[in-house]
Amino acid sequence: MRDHESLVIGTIREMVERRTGTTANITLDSDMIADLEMDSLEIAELSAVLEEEYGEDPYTAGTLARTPREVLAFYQPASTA
Amino acid sequence: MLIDLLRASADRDPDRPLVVTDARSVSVAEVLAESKAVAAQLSRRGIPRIGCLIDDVASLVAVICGAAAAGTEICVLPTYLDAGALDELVASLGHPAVVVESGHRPAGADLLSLGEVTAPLPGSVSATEPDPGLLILTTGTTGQPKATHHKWSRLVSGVASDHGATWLLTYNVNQFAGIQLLLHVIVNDGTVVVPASRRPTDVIEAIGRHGITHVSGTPTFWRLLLVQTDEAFPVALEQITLGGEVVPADLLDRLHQMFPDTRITHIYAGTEFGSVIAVSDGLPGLPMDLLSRGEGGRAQLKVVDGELHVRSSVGMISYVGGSDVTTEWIATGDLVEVVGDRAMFVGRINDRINVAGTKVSPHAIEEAVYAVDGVELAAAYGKPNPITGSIVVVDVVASPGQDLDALKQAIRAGCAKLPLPARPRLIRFVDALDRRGGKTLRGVAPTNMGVSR
Repeated sequence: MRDHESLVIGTIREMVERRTGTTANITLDSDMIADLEMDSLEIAELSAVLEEEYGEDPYTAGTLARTPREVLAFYQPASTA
Repeated sequence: MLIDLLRASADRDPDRPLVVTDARSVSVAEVLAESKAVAAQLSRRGIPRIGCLIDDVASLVAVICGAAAAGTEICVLPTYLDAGALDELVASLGHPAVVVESGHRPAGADLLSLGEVTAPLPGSVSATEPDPGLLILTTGTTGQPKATHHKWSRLVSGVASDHGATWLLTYNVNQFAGIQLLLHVIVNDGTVVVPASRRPTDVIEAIGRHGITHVSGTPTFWRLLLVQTDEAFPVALEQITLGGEVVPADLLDRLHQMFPDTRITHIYAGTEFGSVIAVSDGLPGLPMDLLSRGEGGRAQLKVVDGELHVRSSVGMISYVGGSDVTTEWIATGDLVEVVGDRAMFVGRINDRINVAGTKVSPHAIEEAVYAVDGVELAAAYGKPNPITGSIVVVDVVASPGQDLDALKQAIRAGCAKLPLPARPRLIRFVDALDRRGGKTLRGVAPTNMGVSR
């Protein structure tokens, strides 16, 4: 779980900081669109990174995960429900 | 007509090596003698169309010239296909017979061994078809290869002159550029050297050992060669020729630095429209005045909706099964932007990556990536994505000893000048790039190969 969480949060943080140029405070419940103002290209990048890492990702599977917790739930539904 | 060109060349200098490989050197007189045997054998059998699966280039030249003299249309088939793909190709082309060297056994056609077709046969040959022509398959870097029908007379009329040069063969001989180079040395009393492989070390060794003065290759070939060349190139070359892909400015600059005394020429050519323009002024793209010239030259060019169109006197007659296009404008699939007095190539129409509705050119991305220190090779392509349709991925071969995390950051910084949809979303470090026919595959996700994150 920690590895998944590190990857998801780390990927999102890297993208947001690349765009804003400042340190980003990201929690499991940050709304990627409303709070972090990620655009479709950044969500697309997140899905591609996840797919590269795990062979599948929630977005390709049809789930529009809005928070890191929802992303993690795709991989480990029992422990994050 | 090819055999007449060989005969004329042999009359001038019969012992001149025409084809040199690691295994042997074959003179023009020897190739001529073998061609005559092939002509007699094919003529006696009355075969109108033939496929050819031969690795040995000297034998291949003899079979090509002999077939042309016998009035037999020929297609040089790629020898690198697996058995299933080859059988499918032979079936689709419908050749009644295929000339084969040992090791190749395509199904669905009569097989003639190289030994059978080169066995001397007395008697004269009278071809019913003076120019039976040939089929050339497109490379198919962005789709399935297509078969094009050409005439030898048109191809020969497109050959430039440079007497007695020794050329390195870097193309597959089933490709348009490979066929054109073979014609070039036949017409110009030249010599073609076939390296043991296209690996840079073998190429450099062959250039030194055989006194090669002229080298033609794709931009991908030249990039790979430059990667292997740390300081000065070990041999002085008279002529460098690039073609088959977009020739980027940074590559031209690097070649001019490495070969300051060498004439460097960009050839604009395609399997469908032939070899139509040569530019040697050291700048990328085509001078616009070439596009405004009228009829009378080898080809006319025009830009329609950003795509280069060509009407050529040296191009194909038709696609196989298609109508005659010899007087038609052919859409080349090459996209250009007019910048000042140059038409600058920006990529292939099929290469473009559709990111959230924006068409992105992989070449602009590669140019930005190549500007980053530590990048040896790069290929940009689209990866399907559920959110934006596609996203841009760049595969990068890093130079040895690079800190990959730092290099990734530098590539991101270098690409920050690109529009948002064009910026690479995944940067993958790989051991090598996927290539076909000497060209880098673009516009399609390459097969997975040694990816490291």
